[in-house]
Amino acid sequence: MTYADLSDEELLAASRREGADRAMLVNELFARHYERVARWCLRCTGDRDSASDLAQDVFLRAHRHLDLFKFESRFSTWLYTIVRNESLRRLDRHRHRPLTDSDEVLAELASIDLAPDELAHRSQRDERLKRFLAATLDAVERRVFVLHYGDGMPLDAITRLLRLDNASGAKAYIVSARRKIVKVTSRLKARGEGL
Amino acid sequence: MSDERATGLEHALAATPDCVPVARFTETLSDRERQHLEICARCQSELALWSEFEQSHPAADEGVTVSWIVAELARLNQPVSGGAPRTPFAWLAAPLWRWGAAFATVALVTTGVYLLQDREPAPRELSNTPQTYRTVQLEIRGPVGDLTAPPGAIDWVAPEGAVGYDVEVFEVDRTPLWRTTSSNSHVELPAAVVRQFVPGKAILWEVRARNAANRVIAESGTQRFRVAIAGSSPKG
Repeated sequence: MTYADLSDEELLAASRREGADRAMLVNELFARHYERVARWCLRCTGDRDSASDLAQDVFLRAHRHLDLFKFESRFSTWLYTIVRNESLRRLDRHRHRPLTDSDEVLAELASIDLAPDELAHRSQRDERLKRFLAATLDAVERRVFVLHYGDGMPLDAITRLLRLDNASGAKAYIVSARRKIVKVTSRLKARGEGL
Repeated sequence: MSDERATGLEHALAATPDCVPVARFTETLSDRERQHLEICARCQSELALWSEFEQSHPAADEGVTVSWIVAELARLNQPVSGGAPRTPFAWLAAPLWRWGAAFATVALVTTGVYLLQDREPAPRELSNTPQTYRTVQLEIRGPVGDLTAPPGAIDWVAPEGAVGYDVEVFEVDRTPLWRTTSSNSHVELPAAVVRQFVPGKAILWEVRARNAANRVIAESGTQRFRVAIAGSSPKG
């Protein structure tokens, strides 16, 4: 049996056995995922050098934490969480909050400044917002909305990561989502109802 | 909209304890998880991103760039010539004494050169790239490019009228690593900072020169260097 016959998890388990050539086995394991990590990083950052730096940091972090992998998920899923978190960590440091506009609809959605006696119900309100989005927006609009307003991900990164091939990418979905939200909330307001 | 409100929306859209963990996406979901997934925009977004990571292939316009990044990752981990194959990022797993010995060697060599020449380390010791890199205003000496060892100092040419300098060192995402002021056109990097210059990791730095009126009169722009991994070819 060669290394190529082993699954990622088998390869990692083999690397932990006494006397194993850990270095070589981990090398093989990581090399299997270079392309998908490189692809993700390119889509996230949009340029080659930043993507290369991000990809290197992802594998550095993966190597540092490799012993924490408990075989409770697939290795690629574990690696995905590192890629995702590392990407968002960077975006978080760079981003300008997307919610700087004065859009009244978004302000309404974001008006979580509840009275003290309402704080206990905050989780219910968050749940209601998610249900509202599910009922109001289509699948792609929901994804774009959550990634942009929930994670602060730039629209161009969302366009590349979700491979949106329409002319204006994620921006079109945000515009469409906001239009729908305006329409529904206006209707609710006219009936004297909230979210 | 205020930041507070923005944070409120982020909170409202964040994962909750009911959300399906990413690790479960490869398994058969329970009825409860499926029902949650149907209404939870957060989980749907996570599933979409994870699917793209797991399943997609480079688009036509990505292929060349992705190949370049893959080659770069492989280059950083290629076998040392004549030696045993190394593992990717295996240098991270090196015992502490090896790290200690490596830094001690660098420190010893730097000190030796300093004592022998009775002057600050020349730029050539900091970089294998052209030693002077002219930015818009401030002429810098190094370190820049790919280096064979972690640099111990930052050097530049003092512009006329400068009485002090602001020096900043960052990670590539501009997370500050170190910040100082100096009245000389040279600053020694503390050992704790140098320790963060691990092979393969790109580091940025900037210098701003100030005059007696405390005005910025020259800037280096953002400079970049990286300590090459043994066995790979440093590039400028």
